[in-house]
Amino acid sequence: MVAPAVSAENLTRRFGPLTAVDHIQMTVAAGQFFGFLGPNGAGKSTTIKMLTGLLAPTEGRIRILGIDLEEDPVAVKRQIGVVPEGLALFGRLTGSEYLNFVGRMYGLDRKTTAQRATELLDFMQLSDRPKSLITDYSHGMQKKLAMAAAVIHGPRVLFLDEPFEGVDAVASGTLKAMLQRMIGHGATIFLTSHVLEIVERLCSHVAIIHKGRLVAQGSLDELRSGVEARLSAAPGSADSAAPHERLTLEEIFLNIVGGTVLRDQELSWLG
Amino acid sequence: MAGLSAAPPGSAAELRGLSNARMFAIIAELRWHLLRNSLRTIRGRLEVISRGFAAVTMTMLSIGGAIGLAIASYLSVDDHRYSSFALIFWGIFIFWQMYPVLGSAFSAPFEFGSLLRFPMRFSSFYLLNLAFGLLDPVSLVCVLWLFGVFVGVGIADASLLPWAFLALFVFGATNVLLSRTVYVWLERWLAKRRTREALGLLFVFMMICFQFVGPLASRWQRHQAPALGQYAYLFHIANFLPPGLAEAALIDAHRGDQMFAFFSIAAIAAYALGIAALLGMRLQAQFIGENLSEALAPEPAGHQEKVRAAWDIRLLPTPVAAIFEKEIRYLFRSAPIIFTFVMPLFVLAMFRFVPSHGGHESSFLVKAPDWAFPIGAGYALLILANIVYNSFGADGPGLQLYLTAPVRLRDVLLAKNLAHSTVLVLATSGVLITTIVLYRPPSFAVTFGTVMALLFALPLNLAAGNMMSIYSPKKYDFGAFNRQRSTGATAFVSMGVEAVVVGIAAAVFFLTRYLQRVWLAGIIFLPLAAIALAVYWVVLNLAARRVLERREILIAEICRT
Repeated sequence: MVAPAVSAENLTRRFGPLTAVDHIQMTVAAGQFFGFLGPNGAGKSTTIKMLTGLLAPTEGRIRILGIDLEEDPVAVKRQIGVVPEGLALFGRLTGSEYLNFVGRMYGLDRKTTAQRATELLDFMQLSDRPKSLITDYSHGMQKKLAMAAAVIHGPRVLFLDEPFEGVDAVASGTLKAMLQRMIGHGATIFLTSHVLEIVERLCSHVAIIHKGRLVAQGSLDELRSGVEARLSAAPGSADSAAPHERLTLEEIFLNIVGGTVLRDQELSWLG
Repeated sequence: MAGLSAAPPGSAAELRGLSNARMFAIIAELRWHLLRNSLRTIRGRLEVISRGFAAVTMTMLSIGGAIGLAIASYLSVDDHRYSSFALIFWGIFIFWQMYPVLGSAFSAPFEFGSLLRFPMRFSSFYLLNLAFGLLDPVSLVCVLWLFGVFVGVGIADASLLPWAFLALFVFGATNVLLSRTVYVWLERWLAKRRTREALGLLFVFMMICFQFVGPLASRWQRHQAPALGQYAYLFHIANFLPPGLAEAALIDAHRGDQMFAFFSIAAIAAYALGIAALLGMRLQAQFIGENLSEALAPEPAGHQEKVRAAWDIRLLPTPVAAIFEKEIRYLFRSAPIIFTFVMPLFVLAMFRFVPSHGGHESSFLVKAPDWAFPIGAGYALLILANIVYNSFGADGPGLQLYLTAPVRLRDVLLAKNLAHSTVLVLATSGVLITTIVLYRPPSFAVTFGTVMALLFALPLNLAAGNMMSIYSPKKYDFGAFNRQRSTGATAFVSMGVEAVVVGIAAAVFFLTRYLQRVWLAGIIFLPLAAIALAVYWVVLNLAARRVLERREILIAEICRT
């Protein structure tokens, strides 16, 4: 039996009196493109930090490709790539110096690292600024470089925290093409994003976290069916979609976590 | 327009422009809210208290200065000794213009242009800039000093008051305009990291060079007669600049040459108008949407090239070699390292050229040049301690990579320590060369003793530094020259370690020198170095475990933006 790519049992994280992540049970099968969604402050970043070893859980167990993160963190980290919040870049290196550094941190030899760095910089369209320091890159360029660094060692599981935030359409297309290629070769991708259209287009499975608790998990079709069943069970609900229309991920998401409805008299000065 | 409905009541279409006074009031209110909110944290409260103390001290000094200037002005007019006016006006002028420039070179400027996203007229933007300049503490101090001059002149000769008022008012206005003009131009240069760092470096070297002025002047006076006559034309030029004109206006008015006094004031006013126009040009560029961002200028095409392989350091495991290379690259692109290299050499040079007493070089190092090398090397270690005791400080968000990559944290610390040791070796080599050039080659016994002393002191510093880097981290910007203090705990511990280490080293050297057996120092340091290395090794493993335990605190402090 193939071990799940990511498995979290009873994953909990408390910050003083606040429970940011509350007993999450989650399994991501190998080869899935997995979207981890939630409103602001729901616990997405805290969860991804725990899954990647940046934050210690208060309770619970994490296994990546069957390896316990607490017992053998180095073995886990060898298999994963991470684009964390804040991007983990060293601003006073050039792009190529940074990739050279990261590749060798993952144990690649100098020659392979340099070769892959050249390919990645070309693919990400970053090779025309060989002498610029990362600190002088635009936000989009930094994001592309962080993504290049996360994949330089060919990880089996890739964790991406908001990878498309602040990235233009061209770069976004480049990144998506690279991620699809990785999925095609059996890698697992775990991403958080607020851009639900992208998640809907890319991800086969999603989980939704709300106020620290996992409130939905499954394939998009499973989530859709669940919400549609609930809507049709509610008699006379104005929100229910017509039976022939497929619910979008945004509608599913809003239905699960709830959203604010603008009433007639509210903010009337806006028109 | 077809398809567009009328704007609803209360929308932007009904809003009218704000008056300048209302705009100032809103900004003042914003600053007040920022101040009040900063008091919510202990750090914020301490900052406000320290600023309060600084303000009280500055006020006292300013009032003292104003009284002094009033007396000096009174005496100048009363005794017809006008020469001190030149000193007064040039002093105020230089302080007014130079002090803010030196301050701003060390930090990112306040982005005044950010106010432009609000519906603001150009006149409001211009006036806000001037108001900001006038309310600057330096301007307030200088205005107070000018008031002191006004009072002094008035007491000495009440008939001079109208002329003094005119001259000082126009001179003050010129200074406000000039300081703002200089500031907005600086703002343009400082918006780019490269120019900001270059200016910072320039100012640091200027300040270092200032320290040499006294000793060099003293030597120059001794060795050759100054030929100031050839520079006399500079004084004539100075007479046509605002401080010289302000001085001339007061002197001419006092002598009864009112026409000349008027022309002098008019000339200052002409300067003010010219500067105002320059300021207007710069602000106009900002107003119409000049981009002062850090965005990269496009590089010429054809730069694509293969990435060169990393350094080939076969002695070290791959991740350690990678971190070592990264650290070396990082350190040598940083401002503090320049201090590590320059300051010990500077201190040696200072002691070499220190002013003599009775014409004889009398510094301790000149009398005992053998000690130049150990003192210089020890000083290099002390300066390097700033980096050693906060070794994650400059990593920024990159710190997260150490925690997500398959690398042992012990290796991370080891690689960083190796890089710091390499810097010390290079700095010490520089000290040795300088000692040989400026003094004389140190004896073998002293050289051996110094190297052994460093081998004793460095591991202990690295061990303590590793623990403090984990327990008391502080975000550090290698690109900035502003004073970046370590935490109080780090300062306390590092002082304690240095007191013990330097104390032992000094005691050993003095004892062996007293016994006239300096060669013994190296032998005494040998077992001490072995113990220090063992301590380092034990602490290294302990520290690596602590990094993992304290990763959240590290990330929260170092990765914050």
